[in-house]
Amino acid sequence: MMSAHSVSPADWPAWELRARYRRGEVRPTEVVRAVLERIAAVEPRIHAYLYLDADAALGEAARWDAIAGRDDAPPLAGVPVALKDNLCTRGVPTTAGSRILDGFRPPYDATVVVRLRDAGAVVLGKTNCDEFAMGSSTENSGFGPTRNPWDPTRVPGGSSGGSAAAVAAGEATLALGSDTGGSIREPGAFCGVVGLKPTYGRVSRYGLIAFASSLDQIGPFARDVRDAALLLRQIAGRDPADATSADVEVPDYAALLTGRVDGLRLGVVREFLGEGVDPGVASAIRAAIRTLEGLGAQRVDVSLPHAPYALPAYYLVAPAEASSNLARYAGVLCGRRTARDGDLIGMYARTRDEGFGAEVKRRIMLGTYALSAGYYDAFYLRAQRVRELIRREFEDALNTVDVLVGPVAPTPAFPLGERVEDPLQMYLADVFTVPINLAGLPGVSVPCGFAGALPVGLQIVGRAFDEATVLNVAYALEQAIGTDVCRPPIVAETRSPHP
Amino acid sequence: MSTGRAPTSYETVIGLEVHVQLSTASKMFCGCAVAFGAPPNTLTCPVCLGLPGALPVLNRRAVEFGVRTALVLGCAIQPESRFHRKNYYYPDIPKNYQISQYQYTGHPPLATGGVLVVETDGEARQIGIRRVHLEEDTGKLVHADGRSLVDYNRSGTPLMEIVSDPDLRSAEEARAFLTRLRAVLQYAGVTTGRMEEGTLRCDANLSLREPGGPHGTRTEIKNMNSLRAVERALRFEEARQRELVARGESVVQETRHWDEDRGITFSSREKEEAQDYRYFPEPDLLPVRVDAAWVERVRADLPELPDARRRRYQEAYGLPEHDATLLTETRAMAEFFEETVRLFPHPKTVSNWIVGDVAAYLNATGLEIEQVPGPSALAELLALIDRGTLSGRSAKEVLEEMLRTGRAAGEIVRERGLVQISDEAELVRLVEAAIAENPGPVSDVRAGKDRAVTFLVGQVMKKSRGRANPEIVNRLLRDRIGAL
Amino acid sequence: MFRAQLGGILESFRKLVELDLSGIPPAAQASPATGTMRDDVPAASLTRDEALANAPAVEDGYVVVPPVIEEEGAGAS
Repeated sequence: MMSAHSVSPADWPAWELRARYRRGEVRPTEVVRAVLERIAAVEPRIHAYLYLDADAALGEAARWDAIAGRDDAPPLAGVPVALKDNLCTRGVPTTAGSRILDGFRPPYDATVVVRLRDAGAVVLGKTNCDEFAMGSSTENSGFGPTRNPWDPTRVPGGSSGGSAAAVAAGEATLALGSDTGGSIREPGAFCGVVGLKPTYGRVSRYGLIAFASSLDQIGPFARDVRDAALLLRQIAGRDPADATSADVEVPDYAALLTGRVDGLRLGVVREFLGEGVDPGVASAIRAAIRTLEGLGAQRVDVSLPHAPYALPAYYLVAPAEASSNLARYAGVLCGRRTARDGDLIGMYARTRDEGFGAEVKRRIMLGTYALSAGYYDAFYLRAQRVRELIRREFEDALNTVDVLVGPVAPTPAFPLGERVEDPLQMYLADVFTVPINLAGLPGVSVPCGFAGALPVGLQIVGRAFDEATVLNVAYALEQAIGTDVCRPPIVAETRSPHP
Repeated sequence: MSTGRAPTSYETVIGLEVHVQLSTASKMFCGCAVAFGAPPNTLTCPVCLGLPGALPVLNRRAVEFGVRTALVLGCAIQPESRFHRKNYYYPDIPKNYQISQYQYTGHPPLATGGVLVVETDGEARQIGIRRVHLEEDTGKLVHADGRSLVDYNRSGTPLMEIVSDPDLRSAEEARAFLTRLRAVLQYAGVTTGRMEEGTLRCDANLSLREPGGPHGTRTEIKNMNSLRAVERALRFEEARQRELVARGESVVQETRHWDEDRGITFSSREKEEAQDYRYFPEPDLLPVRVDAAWVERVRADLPELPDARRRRYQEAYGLPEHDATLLTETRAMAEFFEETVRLFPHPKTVSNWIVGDVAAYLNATGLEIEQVPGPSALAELLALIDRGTLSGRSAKEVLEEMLRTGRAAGEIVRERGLVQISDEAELVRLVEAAIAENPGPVSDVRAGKDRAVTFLVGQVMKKSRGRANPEIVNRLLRDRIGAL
Repeated sequence: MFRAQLGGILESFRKLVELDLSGIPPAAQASPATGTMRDDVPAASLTRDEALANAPAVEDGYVVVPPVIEEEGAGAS
């Protein structure tokens, strides 16, 4: 099925690009050029990218011109992708959105980057994110925020705001982000694109700059579910360099998209549709659920009574692991160093004080506290036990239903600056996504409608390693409501003739 | 030394914490090679440099070595154990945390509860092994003027930590424990165990206790870089604490460094309070699973251990226990012996030479058996003696030069003209000359004074500048004199 | 400033104390992966230039840091 408004190749989905390459209708360099034009047009307002190398991308595309159309071409040959800047790219600046890594060029590629390159993808550049992936709005980036293509006075969500915005605005066909507490799903919802967080262990974390090791996962952004499925397949699978990556077979997710959900048991989580959810969001979610029921899905009301404990548990476990993961940023082997004459301890302290932003400092403090002698049992250990409780609760629920559904976030994209001074308010944006990270389950955000003029995302959560079902339910919904929901106004504006 | 009322009734309580570098080919959590003497920062990768995004993956062989060690020390092996992060800032530890194994209730490390039998002054005592666990080594810090320099080649090298129960009762016993532990570990093939090279390191805890009373305050002693240093340092510390107690002062809980040159321990300037390492389970690694089948495979592959080898030498070669013990003290020594015997199949002779002259040379020079010419050189020397080409006495000189210069025995003998004269025709001339020149002793011999034969043999040896074959000379003298 | 901001989240931690967690162990491992270990085979290391390319201060192949005041003693302890 061809997408509507397919005027610019920058807006075509990857599966359509592949088809056109095979038919010889277009070549990768033309597509990349179109994307670069889009970037030039919208970047001044969006600021999705931290690093872009147009020449390298065109050079890469040229290499695929001859091959992309062949039958034996790799699955993503000639497809332009963007990478969140917490993914290590060899020889290419990688900052994780932090000034402390300004100038850092890794001597190696993350495993997912290697797999993407092997699949033929053309890497355009690195996208903006909250510093070290800590945040829900990309306002914590050390290099300025990204703006939501649907409304540039609003946040794109975070922490993978740059990747989500890039895909939404046609500044990339596909993108990778990372999700620790909602950092793919929430910006996906805010930007009206598909964002998937895989099961923990589905995708290798080697080369992902760590935030919280037991929660981080890399996942795809795309403008439709089929594309997300294609991208997931390329990056998933066991990696000997990541001991936590699972040895579970990777199905051909795109081939499993039937769009059929008759008889599927749809668990509607009571705790996710209570007070505190914006009425516009609640209404869009309910409509989406009705649509799925109309397609034959069976609605089952479920309760996850311990879901409300997920946020405090998360804000103990994640900062604790982060405080340890970020200890290495001390000006010794990489990144910035604030020297001045003096002793070692002074160098450590000044380097980190000057290099880290406020949110990172807050979380390091919180995490250090949670692990400190005398508090470990009451905080970190207790939080890990609550986590186990929540995991079991999800597991039990998913024995009675096939997927769980609810909103991704309580509100649509909020205005820039609204929550920066109020961390707790900011943390609440993750209230529905965090439990899924604690449980290690796969979750997708699929655009399901609007609250006013702003996109709303439906979260679909499945059993461990059952991304196929999660994607299929998303696909069914998407096919029913159409992908027109994915075209922000800024894109139309770029196509209007210049005065 | 104070002569105050030192409470000699107080017993010394010592526990040792030993770190051993494992002889794996690659590092603990990455594939970088483990090697010595490489130019700085040439054996590193994103993992052992702690670069952003890097992840550790456990070296199976390191776990196998841990299991081997647990078996030879009689420990209980945990079917499942975890790694933990030990968080602290230091330039030689690139992630600013070390991956190690912590021990707390319900979470034992790789192995616990073993024993090592240690002999001092003929008395054998059982010393408890509290735990054995795995961790990664740090890089090396070199202090220069106004700055410090870091080499990360060693970062990530597999380490095994062995902690004893505080069962040791004297500095001497501590040294004996360490010596024995080292031999056992070398035998198990898990480490080269050389303190001078840093592949075996030791810290100690020492306190005094009234018999039956509670444990006293203990101090931690670091920077002991040889077996001798361990003994000296602990002896000093023991005396220092006794003196304090005798004066009614209390021992301060602290870390003290051993100063080899000054022969003292001094308080290090580290913080007095215990540092909070904020241990938590390493989320990047899964629990280490060691099942019974794996343990059995390791057990079956264990190399022959010192005791078994000693008994075998006593039984198969008829060597006395004392000699067999010396030969099996280190694996290298035992292998040297066995290889020499293979080339020159006279075990008692080989043993005598090794336990005697070779050992004497090693003691005098402070060298190890691996650092002198090998079994084939010794075998050649012994063959020369056996053929009569070299006399026993000359052989000692040749041995010394051979060990020192590495030149072949045959070459030395030829060069020095030490070839033993065994040609009877030539010896007869010397014998007859000696007889002619020494009528007095000759008569003594004929009169039955056997000692005079020795004198005459000596005269012949002098004439031949030590080269005459003494046994043949002896026989010829007796024949000639008897025939007179 | 941080205390006020963090105060709210610290308050929410009190909620966790209410829970009866008897019989619930801490989450053991996040992924179902089992027994992943490496064979003891050396692999290529980075060249020195690659390894030190991002280090703020280098001298003769070493990484330079301000002088360390106290002796920690050789190696891990």
